[in-house]
Amino acid sequence: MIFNWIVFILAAAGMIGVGVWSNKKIKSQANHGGEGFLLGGKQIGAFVGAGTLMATGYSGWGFIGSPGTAYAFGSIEVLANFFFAPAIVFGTLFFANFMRKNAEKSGGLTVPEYLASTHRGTDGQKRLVHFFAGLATFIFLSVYMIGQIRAVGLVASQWLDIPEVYASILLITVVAIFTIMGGLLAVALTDTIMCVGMLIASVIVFGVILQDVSLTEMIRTVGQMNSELVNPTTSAPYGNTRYSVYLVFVYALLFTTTLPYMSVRFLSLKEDIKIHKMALYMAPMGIILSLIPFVGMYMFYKDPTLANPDSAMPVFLNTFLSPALGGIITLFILFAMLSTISSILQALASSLSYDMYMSLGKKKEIKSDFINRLVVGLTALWGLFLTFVAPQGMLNQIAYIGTGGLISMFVGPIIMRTIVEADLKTCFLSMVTGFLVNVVLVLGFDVGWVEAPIIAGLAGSVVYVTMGFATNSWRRVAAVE
Amino acid sequence: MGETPIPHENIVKEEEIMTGSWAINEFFIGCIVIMIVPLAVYIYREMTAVKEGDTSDI
Repeated sequence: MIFNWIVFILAAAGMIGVGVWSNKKIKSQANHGGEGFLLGGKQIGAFVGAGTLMATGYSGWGFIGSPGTAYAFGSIEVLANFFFAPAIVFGTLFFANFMRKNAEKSGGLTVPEYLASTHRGTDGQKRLVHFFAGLATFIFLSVYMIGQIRAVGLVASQWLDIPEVYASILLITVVAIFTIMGGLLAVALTDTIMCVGMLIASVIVFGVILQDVSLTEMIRTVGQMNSELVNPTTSAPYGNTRYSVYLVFVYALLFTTTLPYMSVRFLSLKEDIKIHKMALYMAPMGIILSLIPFVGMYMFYKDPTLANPDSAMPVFLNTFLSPALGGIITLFILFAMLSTISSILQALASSLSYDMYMSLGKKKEIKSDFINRLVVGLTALWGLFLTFVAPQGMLNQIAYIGTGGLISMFVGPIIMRTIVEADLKTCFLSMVTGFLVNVVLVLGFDVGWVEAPIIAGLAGSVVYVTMGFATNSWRRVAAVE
Repeated sequence: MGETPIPHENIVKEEEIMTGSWAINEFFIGCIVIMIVPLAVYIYREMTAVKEGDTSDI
């Protein structure tokens, strides 16, 4: 336990050190208007860009939840979890430049501001869209953060042998400190360090499995015990048909390109960045991170009687690795969780301090980063407060409404803008349509968390494209007035 | 006249080839695709850049 504490203190000091360094870096570049803090001074290059996107996309809970799902449902989880890799790589490869160049042309330090500034309309309409998108980001990501903080508390409490409440407070404090100091640059740099840790963890874990049994032997034996785990006839828990699992790829593609805490990275990339080089870094990272669910199948091969599938990874770490190595891997799992939390925290705080504050106050820009930094601290407290007062039940469903709601709202204005350059009224109506359809599907028709945002996003997209062309006199771009 | 029916035992199911699991097979096929596409785009972009005289990365 003392070893785990020493490792934790060193890791926390390192992350805070990155925050201090990032602070100096963004200050030295004399960026104004929040660009330095909110977009890392647009200093994010190919390798850091790849690391931060992969670390954030592969949520830390996946290191526990995904092996658990693979234990219960088998190989379908290996495939479903993998789909995040091509989705993040292809989403970046084919979409990042479009968004980055639009943001450079029209302005936009956050995704809500990007939406407002890349659509034409009156100043009042701009502020309405900016505020509405900022409010939605704040509400939905607040809900989403609850689950992430609880997950961190659960893992860290066992690792450091302290109560969950203290573990959550301790880790969120570390995340808040480096985010307050260094903004998005610190978040991206620490993400990249964490991503390297996650890659090492994946390689070690997969290596331990292969030392014991070959992949084909493991699959053959698991298939003899339960053929559905090896050759599933449905995509459960992702859908009822064998092909439903492919919808996870579509979901993950929308997740990458529309969720503010992912797509804001596209706005923060260096001006002369080579996106194709970044994608080349991301591809092997994605493949290596996709090896983690094999732990679930391996645990089923070793012991098919686990009462709780979610204990597959913890039992694996405790049984098949030395305590020191298990402790290091647990740190990397915590890293993975923290990288997602820091990204959400940063997006959440900017939606409050920048988007809502600016659109309500009619301010053109915030002169100092002070408010942005202060709100990061307040948002961390807000996240902790929600975590401990929110009811335990219904959290998964609420979280799905959280991310699904945001995806549904932003698919039209962000992705469909490649087809038609619509106005702010169209943008607003598309967002409202996506949101409402998603809520109705999840609450009224019990549609799955993968299908609901895809269908709702499609509804918002139809509204966006139809109304966009209609208001442009059936042309792609409106005539210059 | 009629075609000789293929004996049932000679029909190779998709899941019986490669790893023995169709989902794991698709995982490995996906791994190949995810490496090839960015590599192809990278080579294409770099060759285009060299033709246009941008050799900053060389």
